[in-house]
Amino acid sequence: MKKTKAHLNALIASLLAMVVILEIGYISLNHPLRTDWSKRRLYELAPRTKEIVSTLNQDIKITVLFQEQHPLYYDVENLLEEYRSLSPRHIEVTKIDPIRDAGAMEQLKLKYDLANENGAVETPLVVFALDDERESNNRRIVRLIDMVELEMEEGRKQPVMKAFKGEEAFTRALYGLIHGENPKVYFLAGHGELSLSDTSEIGASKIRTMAARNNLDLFELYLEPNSEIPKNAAALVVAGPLKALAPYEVDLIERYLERGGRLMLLLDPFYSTGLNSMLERWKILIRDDIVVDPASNPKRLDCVITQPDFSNPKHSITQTLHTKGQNLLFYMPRSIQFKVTDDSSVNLQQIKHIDWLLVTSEQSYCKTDPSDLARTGDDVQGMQCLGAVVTRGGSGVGYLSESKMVVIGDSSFIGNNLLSGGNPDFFLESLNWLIDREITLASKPLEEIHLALSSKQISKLFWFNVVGIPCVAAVVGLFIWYRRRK
Amino acid sequence: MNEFVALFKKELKSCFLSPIAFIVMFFFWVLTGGNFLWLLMQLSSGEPLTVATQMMFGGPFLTFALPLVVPLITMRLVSEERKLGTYEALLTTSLRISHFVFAKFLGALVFYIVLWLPVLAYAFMASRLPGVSDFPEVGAVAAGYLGVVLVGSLYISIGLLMSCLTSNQIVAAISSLALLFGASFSLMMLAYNAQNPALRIIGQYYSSFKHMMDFSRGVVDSRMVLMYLCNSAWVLFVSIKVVEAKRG
Repeated sequence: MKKTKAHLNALIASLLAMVVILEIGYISLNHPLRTDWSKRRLYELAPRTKEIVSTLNQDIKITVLFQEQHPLYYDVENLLEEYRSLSPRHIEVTKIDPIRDAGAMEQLKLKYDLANENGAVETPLVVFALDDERESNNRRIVRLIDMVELEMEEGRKQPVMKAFKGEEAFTRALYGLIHGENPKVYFLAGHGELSLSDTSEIGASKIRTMAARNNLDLFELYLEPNSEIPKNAAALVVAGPLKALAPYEVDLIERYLERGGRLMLLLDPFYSTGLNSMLERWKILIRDDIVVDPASNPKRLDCVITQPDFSNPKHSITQTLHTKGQNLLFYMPRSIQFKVTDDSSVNLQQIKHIDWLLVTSEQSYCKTDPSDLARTGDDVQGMQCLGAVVTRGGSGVGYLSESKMVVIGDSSFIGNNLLSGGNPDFFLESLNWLIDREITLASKPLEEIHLALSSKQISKLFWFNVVGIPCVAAVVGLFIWYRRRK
Repeated sequence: MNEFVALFKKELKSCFLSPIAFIVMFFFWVLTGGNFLWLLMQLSSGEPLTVATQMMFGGPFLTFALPLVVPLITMRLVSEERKLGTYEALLTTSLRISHFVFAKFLGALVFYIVLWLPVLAYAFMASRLPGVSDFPEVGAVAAGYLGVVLVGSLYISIGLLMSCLTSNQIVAAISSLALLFGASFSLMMLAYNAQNPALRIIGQYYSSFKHMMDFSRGVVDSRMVLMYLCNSAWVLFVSIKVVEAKRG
C-alpha cells in the first residue's frame, strides 16, 4: 500500500511538473528571442523585415523550387528558416526538387501559373502565395535573378554570383502579397500611343498579359486638364506618342515626378513629343534621327538587334539579358544623348545618377531622312546610345523625393509583333526597376571556401585526427585497466 | 553541499575509470575525427561558407551518433550501483536524493563535454589552415558547442531516467537508445515532412536535428535553449521521484 502510494505520488508530481514545463514552453513560443552569435550574421533579418513578418495575420505558403545541388540552396533554406521562425503559425515552407518531383512540379505549374511563353518553368525560383484556395492567383514569384547580384568577371563567360540579396527579394514579395494589389502602371493615351486594348500587330495587348503574369497591372490613362496623375500610379509609361503632349500634360507629369513618380518614355523619332525641355532638365537629349547598325543586323537596316554585349552589364535591368543571352529587337530607334554640363546646375537639378542601358556598335550611323537608310558621308557616325536611366532626388541629394526615369528611343519593341526574344523581359525589368521603392535591404556577400590540401597534409591530418586522438583514449584506457588489475 | 561535492567527485572517478568509458571515447573520437576529415575534403572542392560552418557540428553523422553514444554513458549510472548493492546502502543514509541524481547527471555531463573537446581542437586547426579567412567563426563554434551541450544534457537526463528504472544495464541502454533514436528520427520527420502544420511546429520545436542546424551556424534561439533546459530539468525531476518511490 505504501509502495503504491509512493508510486502514485511520483506520478502525480511528474505530471504536474510536465504541465509547468509545457506552459513555459508555450509562453516562450510566443516571445522568442533569436540571436545570431556568428560575426557575419548571414541570415539575420533586418528590422524592416521583422516588422513585416511579425505583423502577419494571413497564412503564407512559400514553395522553394530549387535543386539541392544549387549553390544557393542552403542560403535560401536558412534565410527562409529565419522568416518562418518569426511567424511559425503563419508561414509554411515547402521544398520541391523541380527535377525529381516532376509530378508536384506539374501541379504547382498549374496552380500558380508559373509557365512562361513556351510553357516551361524557369527554375530555380521561390513562390510566395496566400495559403488560401480561393486566392491561388495571388502569388509572387521570386526568380534567381531577383535574389542574387551578378558581376562579370575577367575570363568568365557567365556572370558570377557576387552577393545574395534574398532578403530584399523575399520581403518585397511578402509585402506585395500582403498588400494584395498589384502595382498599377498607367499607359498614357490620347496621343496615338500604343494601345493596351489593341490586339493588332502594332497593339500592346500582349505585353499587358505578360505584365499581369508578373503581378503588374497596366491601365490606360487619359489626362484631363484639371486632373492629376492617379495617386496609386506606381509608374507612368508614355509609349510612342504620335502627337505632342499638351503643356498642361507635361506639367502634370513633372509634378508627378516631383512627388516621387516613375516614368518610362518610349519615344519614336520624328514625332514631336513636347517633352524635350523636360528631358533636358533630366540631362537627356533626344535627336530626330534613326540609328542604323549594319553590324548588328545586315539584312534589314530598319531594325537594330542589340546583343547582350551591347547592354550595360552592371545595371539590374539589363543583367537578365546577360544571364539569358537574349537579344533585343528595335524598329527604327532614335538616339539618346546625355547633356554634358560642367556648371553647378547639375546640383540644382538634383540628378543623382544617370546611366546608359543600350548601345550600338561602332559601325552605326544616324539618318535624318527615313526614306533612305544607306550610309552617306553626312551622317553622324559611331556608337550610339538607345536607352538610358536617370535617378533624381532622394536622400542625400536634395529635397525632392526620389524619382526615376527610363528613356528608350523606340516604342515598337513592346508592340505585339516585336514582342519576342529579350524584349518583354527588358520592358518588365525596366518597370521593376522603376517601381522598386518600398524595400531596399542590404545584400550579403557570397563567400566560398576553397582549401588547397596536399595529399601529404591530408594523410597527416588523418593520422593525427582519426588515429592519433582516439589512440590517446585507448592508451589511457589500457593504462587504467592495467592499474586496476593490479 | 559538501556531500554533493563528494558524490560528484566519486561519480567522476567511476565515470572515467570504467573501461566502457574509454571504449566509447575511442570510437567517438574516431567518428569526430573522420567527420572533420570529411569536412576538409568537402572544403577542398569548394563549399559555400554557410554550409561549411554547419558541417562542423551538424551533419547526420554526428546528430545520429549521439542517441547511440549517450545511452552507453548513462546505462551504468544507476543500474550499476543497484547491481553492486551500493544503491541501497546509499539510500539508507541521510543522503538527499536530489543530490544523488544531480551528481550522477553532472558526472555524465562532464564526461560528455570531454568527449566533445577534440572538436574544439579541430575548429582551432581549421582556423589555422591557409586559404580560409575567418573560418570557423568563434561565435558559430561557441553556439554550436552550446547546442551540443544542451542536446547532451537532455539526452543524458533521459538516459539517466532509464537507468534509474532498471537494475539491468543492458535494458537501460537499449531502452534509452530506442527512445532517443526513435524520438529524434520521428521528430525530424515531423519537422520536415508533416503535412499538418501543427505537427510540423511540434516537430520543429522538439527536433534536435533541426536545432543543431541552427546552433551550428551561430543562431541561438531562446525557445530552443529554454526547451532543453526545462525538459532536462523535468526529466531529472522525474528521476528523483522514481528513486524516491523505489526507496520508500
